[in-house]
Amino acid sequence: MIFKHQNELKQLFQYLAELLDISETQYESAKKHYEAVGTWLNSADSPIARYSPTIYPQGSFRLGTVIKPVNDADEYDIDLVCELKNLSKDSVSQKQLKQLVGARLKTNEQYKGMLEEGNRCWILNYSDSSRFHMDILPAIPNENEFRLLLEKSGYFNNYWVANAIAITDKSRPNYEKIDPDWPRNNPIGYAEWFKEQMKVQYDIKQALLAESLRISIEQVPDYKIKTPLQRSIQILKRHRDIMFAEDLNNRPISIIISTLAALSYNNEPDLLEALQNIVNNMQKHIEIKNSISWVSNPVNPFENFADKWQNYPKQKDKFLQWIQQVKADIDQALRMEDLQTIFENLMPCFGDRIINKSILKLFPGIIKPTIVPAAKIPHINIVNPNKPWGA
Amino acid sequence: MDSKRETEVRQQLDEVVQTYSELISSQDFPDKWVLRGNIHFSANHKDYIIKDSFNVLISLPQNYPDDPPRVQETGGRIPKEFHTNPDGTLCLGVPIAVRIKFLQNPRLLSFIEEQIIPFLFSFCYWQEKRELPFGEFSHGGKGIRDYYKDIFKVKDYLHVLYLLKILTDKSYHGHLLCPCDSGIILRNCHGKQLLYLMTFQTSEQFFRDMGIILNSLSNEEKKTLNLKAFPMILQKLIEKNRSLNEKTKKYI
Repeated sequence: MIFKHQNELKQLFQYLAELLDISETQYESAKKHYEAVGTWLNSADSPIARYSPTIYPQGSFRLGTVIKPVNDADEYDIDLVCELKNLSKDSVSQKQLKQLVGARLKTNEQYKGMLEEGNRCWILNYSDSSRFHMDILPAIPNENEFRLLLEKSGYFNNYWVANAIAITDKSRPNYEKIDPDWPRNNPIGYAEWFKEQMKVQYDIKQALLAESLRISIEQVPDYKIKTPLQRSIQILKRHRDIMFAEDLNNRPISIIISTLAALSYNNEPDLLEALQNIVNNMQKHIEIKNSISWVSNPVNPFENFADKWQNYPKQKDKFLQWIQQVKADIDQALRMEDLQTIFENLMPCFGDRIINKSILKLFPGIIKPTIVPAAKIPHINIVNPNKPWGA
Repeated sequence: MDSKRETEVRQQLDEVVQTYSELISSQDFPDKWVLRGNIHFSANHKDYIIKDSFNVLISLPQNYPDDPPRVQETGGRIPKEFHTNPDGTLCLGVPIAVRIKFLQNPRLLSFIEEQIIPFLFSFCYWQEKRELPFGEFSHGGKGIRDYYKDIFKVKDYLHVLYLLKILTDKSYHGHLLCPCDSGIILRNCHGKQLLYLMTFQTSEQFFRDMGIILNSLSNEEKKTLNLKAFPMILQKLIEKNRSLNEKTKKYI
């Protein structure tokens, strides 16, 4: 079915997603900061340099689905792994690993004042002007053990296992003991799985970019490539941030959105089609195992991203409700006849300022100032006004 | 939102839309009422007249009308540097001043005409003349401090802090000496004013104001302060000299 304003909406969503993304400068700045952390951990006088610490991004920063916070005052959070390659569970406890990394960070004059400890990570709070903080997750390699575990349980698809890691968690009873049972994770494996789901579009975009920049395919930085899957996830996350601004406890988590969206994506080249297909199919990929809702971690079949839904069934209801809402919002926008009404209806879903900004850029002629007869413009006589202030 | 409140909110929104026909009211979510569109106005301060129109988003907080609305300029005309809060909303004034003005006349229409339009007027005036027609308060704690200095008519920020402390720990005793060093008992000095202020803000909100002021003091000023007189959490903040980040703000 062809809708009257389909093309305008395509442009609008495309531009909206670009506005939601972090800028290249912000990306470069974040990268510079985490590489500096890596250098500090690895420098010649670092007591942990002999364990070959490696720092790499995980989560939305790695997936290319970061979005700006709705509120200008909120911070980005950049999730990093700090993997100590030459350590194993036989030689350290979770606590010892955490403290090794923490102790080295504390010897840096700059990091000392910014450091905070979380359950699983070290948090570096950068100054107000850069508006981000880094969660650094201490980890050690866990490939062999995880491969064995998969085989023992009858999973022979261990394609993604190469970068599995073990991480620490203060709330575990065996946190202080030398013990083989550590929390498991595999952010690189997940990111590779994610990339595989959009491979067709990724390769096309990569080739196009390489051509236009006159560089080889290998030289195109990952973050410059944005497929319709990544753009759709950014748009969905924004809709979620606005809808759940006052209901943080029931806010759908990003990893569930990204996983279900990636499972639904059929490498559509067009953003609007991708988005429609994703919202129509996300729900189908929620499995039920023994009457429990499952959103499997695609690289770790034992992990259920939706495990919280068991104890908080309201979160599941809200998740389904949210998908329905996105669907309804997009459908309504497509069906409407008048472009200005479409934009007005999209404002509550994605934010007034960002929609206004997109309209100004894309369709500057659309919003015509309504002509109000001069007599109807209210006149105010200002007496005893406040003096403006600023927080 | 109970139905009585909902009826009241709807009435207030209607009243605004009738006067400002380019504003549209909308219930974005069950508990979220907003007005969006243009405020097209003409206003004068003394002989100076300004006619203009701004694209805005006015959101009513969940406990409206106990708390005043929040306003954003959504057309991209007002730069962040011009009296805008970190969250993008307009700084119509020192928070307590905005509350007092609003609660004296808790209607949306009055809020628009008494607070938003004068702010927009200020902005237009500033764009033309690079000065503010009604003056301004410094940003952050210094501005709050100056506001209280103004209304208490005291010169010393220490007096402001000790008066605020009474509001914060609810330790008003009319027969004690007023902390402004006048030598007069509170009841006959700043007492009436304190009791009046108490009707507009909770002690937690005064606590926040006090925290922001304490946080803005210079090291010199901190030395002259008897820190022990203030609650632990603020003492720690001051000692560590940490800025109020989002996490600490929640405690304040």
